[in-house]
Amino acid sequence: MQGHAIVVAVTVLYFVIMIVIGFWANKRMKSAKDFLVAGQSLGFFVMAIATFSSIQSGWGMVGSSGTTYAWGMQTLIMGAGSVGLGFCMSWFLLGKRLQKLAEKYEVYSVPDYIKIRYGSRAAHIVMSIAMLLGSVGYMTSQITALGLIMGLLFGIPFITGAWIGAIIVAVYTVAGGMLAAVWTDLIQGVMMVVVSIVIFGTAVSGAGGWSNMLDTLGVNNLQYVSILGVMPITWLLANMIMITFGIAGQPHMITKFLMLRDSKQLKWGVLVCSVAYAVTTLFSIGVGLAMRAYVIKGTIPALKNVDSAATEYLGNADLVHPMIAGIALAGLLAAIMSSASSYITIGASSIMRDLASAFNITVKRELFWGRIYSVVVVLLSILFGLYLDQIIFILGAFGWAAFAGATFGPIVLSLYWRRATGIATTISISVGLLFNLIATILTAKGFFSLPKYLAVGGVSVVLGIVLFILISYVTRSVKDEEKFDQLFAGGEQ
Amino acid sequence: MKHKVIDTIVFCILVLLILMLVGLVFDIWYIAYYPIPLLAAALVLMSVNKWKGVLPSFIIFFGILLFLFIWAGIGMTSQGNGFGGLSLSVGVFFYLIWPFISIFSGLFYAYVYEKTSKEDGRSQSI
Repeated sequence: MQGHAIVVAVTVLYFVIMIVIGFWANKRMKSAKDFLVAGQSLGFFVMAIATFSSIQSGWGMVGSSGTTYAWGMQTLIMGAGSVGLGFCMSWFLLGKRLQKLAEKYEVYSVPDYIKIRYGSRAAHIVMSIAMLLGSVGYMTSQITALGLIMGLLFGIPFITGAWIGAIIVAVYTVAGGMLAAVWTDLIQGVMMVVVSIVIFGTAVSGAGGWSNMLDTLGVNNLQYVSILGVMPITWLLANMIMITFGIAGQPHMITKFLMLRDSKQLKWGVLVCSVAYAVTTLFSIGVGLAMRAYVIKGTIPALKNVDSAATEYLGNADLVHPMIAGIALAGLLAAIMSSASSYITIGASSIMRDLASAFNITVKRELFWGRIYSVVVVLLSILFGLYLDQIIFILGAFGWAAFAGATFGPIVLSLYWRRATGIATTISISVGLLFNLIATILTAKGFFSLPKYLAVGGVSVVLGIVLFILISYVTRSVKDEEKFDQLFAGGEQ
Repeated sequence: MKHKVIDTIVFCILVLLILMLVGLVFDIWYIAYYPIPLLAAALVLMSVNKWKGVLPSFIIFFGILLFLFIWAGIGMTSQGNGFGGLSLSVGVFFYLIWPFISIFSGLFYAYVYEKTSKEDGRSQSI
């Protein structure tokens, strides 16, 4: 009981710190630049930790623990193992160019870049809509994860937990915009790293140590320690491709490069980001494998729902001390909140700045409207996440894969490739989003079932980039090439 | 980098992506798998303006990565737990590729950044 009281106290203290940061950032808010890109003031460490913590979401820690429990080491192959390569490519491809463009042309969002790169209104509108749909979609999944963890921490109903969690994120994000989001991400990221190290050590030692745990798993079923397991190899590789190459197309990754104070801050970003992400991956590996070993040894019964592997582990006082479990739950809360805060600001920007400018509407009080639309994004996410079940799965279609397929070509390739066109951008974003939407609806409604090896996410990422390149070949535009020359003039091309 | 060079790299990227797509759609795992490090290398190659002085680091980094991918690929369809308690491919991924990528990709970037920034300073362009 005393342990639980400490956990509640630590969590409440954590919430207070988040809100204090929000109000600290609020005092520094003077313009939309401060609200949307943290005043382009970030150093490498804050930016790198904020980037890793917003990429490592609730799914990455809670969901991956469940898939590791179910499939064993296949989970590492399908993504986490090569995420560092995704960060490396993102820094190489986006880093210097986006940072300098942000400095020179007031680029505060992904659609801002589309606007200056192509001068195509259609591309600008489509990208702005994609950003809005994606932000609400991502936020919705974070709201439901918040409800789950808050319920476990405070013993409150799911909906109450989701509302409280959402209000806390909304308060500090609305007050301090992206500046509050990245500084809270810093604390949340550090919490996630510490929690992951502690939980990995606790889980693995509790299961008999690394070697004994793997022996237990291997003797019971080689599938848990092999790539030939529950899921087909091709399915795993599709996810590896989606995650590794998709990172550079994620709006919350791209936007971080617009916040740096100068290009010197890029140098050590990959190292900080990759190592921190790898350390937090230990959480799901440790918990997932240890829970499977406990089930094999008969210490606990088999889980009814694999997605509850992390919460069942942390909720079992025989396996982990309640105080450590509570602090770990606060760490999971941090993982969810760090992703949520970025989506709120990007979503608000997509309405207030991007869609408005695409329709030639001048917004005079950008800071004020940025805050209003941040609240709108949170309320929409709560509405969809808690009260409109039938919409959640549709929003799920606008996730990682949809963004990666839709934005990799128009953003990443267009930074270097003169022949990239606005028409290709409009078509590839539209097709990327529609492909994921239609595939999600048709499979969910049972109109057809895909072969087990075929992962829609991986296919849509690859297809989206292929489509962009092919359409750019056939819609060559002198105007777009001139735009490229204007942006990147100076002789290096 | 000249436009023609970029055009060539984009064409190579297209070919690798089509190979991947064929592998993913028709369940031919090795066609989807081996282009992964090659595609990463092509994208990084495209992003660096002047490779003078940094090409050896590029060859070493992606050479090691490709070697490790091939090693893991060789054991892709074999089971067992002889590689540190894991099967060969998972063992290579967990004990070698994962730490290599997590640590050395950051060092590789920092090295290339340092070298190319000096060149950028001379040309003063983005």
